[in-house]
Amino acid sequence: MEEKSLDDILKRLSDLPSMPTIVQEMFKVTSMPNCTSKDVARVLENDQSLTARLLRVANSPFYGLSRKVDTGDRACTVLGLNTVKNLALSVSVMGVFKSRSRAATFDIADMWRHSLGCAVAAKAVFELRYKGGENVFAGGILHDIGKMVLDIYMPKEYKEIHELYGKDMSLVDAEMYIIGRTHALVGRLLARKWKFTEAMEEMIAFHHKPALAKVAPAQVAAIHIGNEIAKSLSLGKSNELFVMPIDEDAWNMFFTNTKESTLTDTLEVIWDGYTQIEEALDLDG
Amino acid sequence: MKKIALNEVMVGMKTARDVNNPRGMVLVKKGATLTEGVIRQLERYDITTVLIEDIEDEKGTEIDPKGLEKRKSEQMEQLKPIFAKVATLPWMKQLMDAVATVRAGRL
Repeated sequence: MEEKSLDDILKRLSDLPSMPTIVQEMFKVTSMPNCTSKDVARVLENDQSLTARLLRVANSPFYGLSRKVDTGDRACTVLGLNTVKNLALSVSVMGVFKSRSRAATFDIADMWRHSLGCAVAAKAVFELRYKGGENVFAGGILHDIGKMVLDIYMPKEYKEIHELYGKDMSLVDAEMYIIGRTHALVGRLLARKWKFTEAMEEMIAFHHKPALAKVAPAQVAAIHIGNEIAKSLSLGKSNELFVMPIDEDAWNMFFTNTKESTLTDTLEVIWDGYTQIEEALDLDG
Repeated sequence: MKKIALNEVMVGMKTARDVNNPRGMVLVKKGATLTEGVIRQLERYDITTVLIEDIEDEKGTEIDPKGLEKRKSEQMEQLKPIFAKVATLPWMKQLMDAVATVRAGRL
């Protein structure tokens, strides 16, 4: 029975949704050596609603722009291509799963709120020590993407998983018990299918086990910490009931030899950032 | 309503008007409770004064440091169940404490 269900999963997962065209285009354009703001703006022109959401996020106080940006071209110039690429990725993948999800086992808007909380937290934590947390933000948005996939492709099993876990069993243990695979692994399969960068694949695959990261350990550690910070500040609602232990090495990557106020300051920044972007994204809309 | 220099505002005071940067962008909304973090952010934006609600309106409780301590310990109680599995780890305790501090200033 177990074996059959494993085969079944892999078969069903071979049928994963394809990557949104606009993201494919965006990846293609931005990987070209002479890519300019105009090139990216041209891609964005094909999806007005994506662009509108992206501009709302870019104009939220979290990004601290002194003047409002109102075109994709301006957004690229002011925020940089990398930020725009990662925002476009985040916003468009949210769109894919919003329209497809049956949300049998959880509220999809709550789920995205948790992912947004993780994204904002992971970026803030990462930037305590490193520059350019844009891909960490996108990694936070996508870290639980495997849950969305399971919800769509294995609604029956995922419902069983949700009935099983609780005080004595973690969500990941329940996933292993029922389907022998975790949402992190399922997310990794999607990341491969969609040809995400290796760093992104690791952020999704190892967000519960940051020590396994090889290519992007600091990014993965930031996602791992951001996930628990989002839960502890109740930013959105993860379907995990408890804050899980943060890996000590991951924690020490960012919070050793820091002032006592660094942690509370970071949490304040995260709370503000989350509130601002949540408003801009209008997740229930 | 009172105009107070930013270096004299206290955690727990409430804004009587939106605080805008010179370009008109809202940094803090009217009625927000000032926290350490918010005050530090305003410093970063070079804000020098803030319009604060009269303390009488707040019956003096909001800026009472003892009130803040009490709210923090209430928050600690509320956080206990979700931190149940990790409370023995020193760095998780540190996180729980910081979360309680931030929530006490805001909720």
